[in-house]
Amino acid sequence: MQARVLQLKAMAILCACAGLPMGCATVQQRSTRLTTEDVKEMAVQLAASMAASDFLRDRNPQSLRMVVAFDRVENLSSDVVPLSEQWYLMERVRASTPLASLGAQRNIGFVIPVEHLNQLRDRVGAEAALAGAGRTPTHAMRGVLRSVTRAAGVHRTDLYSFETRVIDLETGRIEWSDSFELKRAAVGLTYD
Amino acid sequence: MRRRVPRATRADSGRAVACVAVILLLLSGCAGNRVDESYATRVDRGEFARARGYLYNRNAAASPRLSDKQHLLDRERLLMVTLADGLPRHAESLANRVYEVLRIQGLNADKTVPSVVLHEGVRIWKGEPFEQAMAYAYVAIQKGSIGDWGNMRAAAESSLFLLRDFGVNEKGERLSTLEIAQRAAARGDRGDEYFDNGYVAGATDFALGHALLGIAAHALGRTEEASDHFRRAAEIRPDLTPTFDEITSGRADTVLIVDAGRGPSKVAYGPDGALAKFQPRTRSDDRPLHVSGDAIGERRIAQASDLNRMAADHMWNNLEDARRAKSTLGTALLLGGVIVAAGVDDDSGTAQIIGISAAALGALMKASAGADLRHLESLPQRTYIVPLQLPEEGATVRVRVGDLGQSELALAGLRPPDRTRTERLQIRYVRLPTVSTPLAWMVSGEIRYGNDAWPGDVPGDDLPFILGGRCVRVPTHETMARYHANGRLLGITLADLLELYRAEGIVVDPDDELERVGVHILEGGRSLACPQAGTAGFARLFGQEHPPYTPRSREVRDLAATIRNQGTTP
Repeated sequence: MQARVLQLKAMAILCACAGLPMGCATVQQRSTRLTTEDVKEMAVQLAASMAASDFLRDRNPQSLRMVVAFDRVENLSSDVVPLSEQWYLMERVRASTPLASLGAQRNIGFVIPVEHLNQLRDRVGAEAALAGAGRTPTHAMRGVLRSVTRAAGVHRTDLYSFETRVIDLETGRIEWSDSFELKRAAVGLTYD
Repeated sequence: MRRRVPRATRADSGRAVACVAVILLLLSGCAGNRVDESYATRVDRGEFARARGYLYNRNAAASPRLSDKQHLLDRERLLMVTLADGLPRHAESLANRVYEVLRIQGLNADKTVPSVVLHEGVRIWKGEPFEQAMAYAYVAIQKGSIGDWGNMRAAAESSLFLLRDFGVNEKGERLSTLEIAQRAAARGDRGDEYFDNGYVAGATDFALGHALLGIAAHALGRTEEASDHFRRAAEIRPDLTPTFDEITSGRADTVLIVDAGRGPSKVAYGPDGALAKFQPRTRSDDRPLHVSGDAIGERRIAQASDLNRMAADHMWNNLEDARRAKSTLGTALLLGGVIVAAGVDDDSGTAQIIGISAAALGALMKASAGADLRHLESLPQRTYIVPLQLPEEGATVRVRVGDLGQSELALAGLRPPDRTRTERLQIRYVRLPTVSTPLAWMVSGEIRYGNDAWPGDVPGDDLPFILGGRCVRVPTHETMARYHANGRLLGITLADLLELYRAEGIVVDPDDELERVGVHILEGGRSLACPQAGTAGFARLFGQEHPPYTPRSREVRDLAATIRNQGTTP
């Protein structure tokens, strides 16, 4: 009986050792980087804010045609945001329901500069990218992404702020601006 | 009275041995490679495309799964050689992935127990902190090389993480990892607390990271931020002050980031080789970089980083080996208990099984005690930052480390940034080969093939390379116009020429290779991806003679023969 127990113990040790390397397969991911969902959320919030702004509220189908050219996001955050994602963010703002529905109602067009269509093509396909090409802009929409980082021990928090503004290209006046903030926190050794 | 116990059968023993074999196999599967000499040798010789091809042939970076323990290491290797080859656009997805993985916190959180008990190689490789800082720096350089200053700034900032400083010993010397392990072991059960809390979080002394961040901020027009980081870098390395003055004063329109020498290699030391340290392969010294050229005069540039020094400091090591070494002692005691139990019935089969188990486990522990020696073997020993002001017509810039001719490289075709696009700065990454005798292409300073990175004419570039000429430009309307203007290929349209390239299996749009770039047609491959001028890849590809092209298709073979034999324009 005792021998059987010892035998089982020996086998248990072997099995435990065999099981440990299986841990290789599991990965726990933790990061404060912006995700695609974050980008979508920011785009929706900003589009809704812009659609409800005074800047657009008084316009109607008879208003003078307004063409807003999207510029890419200036990334001043601590996160690398690939160019294609920066354009994707602006495209999401443009394509968000609140803004997309304003085109005919308020005689507004939103366009992506043709020289940057390649970046967008990577994310949303050629058709969507080409949809905004070839219009003469009256306004420009610019975005700046910033962040503040706090790190203590294994904790890290990044507070992102995405600020957008629409500028009248003729007068240089800022017609509208707003910002959206987002916090991302992560726990874990940074260089384990 | 002694109880008789049933003998274990021969089959039981066999099963135990089989189990041991399985474990050994599993362990060997988890343990990583050390130095990949085939890769490292190619990097030393500046054969970056071959190094890339070697990695791809070995299926490196084939798996998108992060659970592949070489996931990051292979991508960093590919990133380095693609950058060194002068192809930063083609390194974009690699750089993005490297950054993404580096930013994951607690990547090995669930590997702590296996790595302590078995082998550190079960961990997903992330590199020592100094390797991670350098990896961030390469991401920053990749971004800067394509003019993506915002992301260069972000990546450089990421390299400036806090470091763990365990202080000095009684002699006032920086503690070694062995001393840290011994101090932890001396605390017994509270040893882990020492690892977790026994340090002071200190600011980084990574001058290169500050310098790269300063360059990015300067390019973005954020002058105060640039000055802050240049000041910090100069505090760490005072010799860099003139370099930064040139950049901030606006006198520089181009910055070369020049890597030289072999980075330190990781070796085992201490009991059972359980600890790891980095040994210099290229010795540290204060030799400056000599920079010369007709249009820029002659200058000496101080080093911005010395990886030997960084790697030797415990602040730049993750101390996982020290943590393991401390824990191994406890595991050995546990093993002793098993061996005592085996003495209960020393003539039984059970004892045999236990004996096998204990011996196997002991052997496993000893075999697996060795530190994880995986490291990024292609890192340089040192890095220089060279500000230049280039003439409109371009220049050939020669760089060499100290008086050693074998470290010389002539960078032909360097031109200032495109003023029409209001670019105020450009970055070029230069990896100096590490060879005993300079290779012909390193010192030629010539451009022998017409290419997309150099607008000038080259004798013989009025005909595509695949048809016997010296032009390796991507076939476009402009390229065709150049041929036609020289009276060549008059009977052939762009569509015809594209068909010829396709018949040869050559990728005619370099954008199709952004995820995985092949070997250039000059070196026997099927790619037309053109390196940036002012890089080692450009010098190797266009600064030496290559064997004539050997057509694969009948169409190209026939047309090339017609041109060659008749000397007429088809």
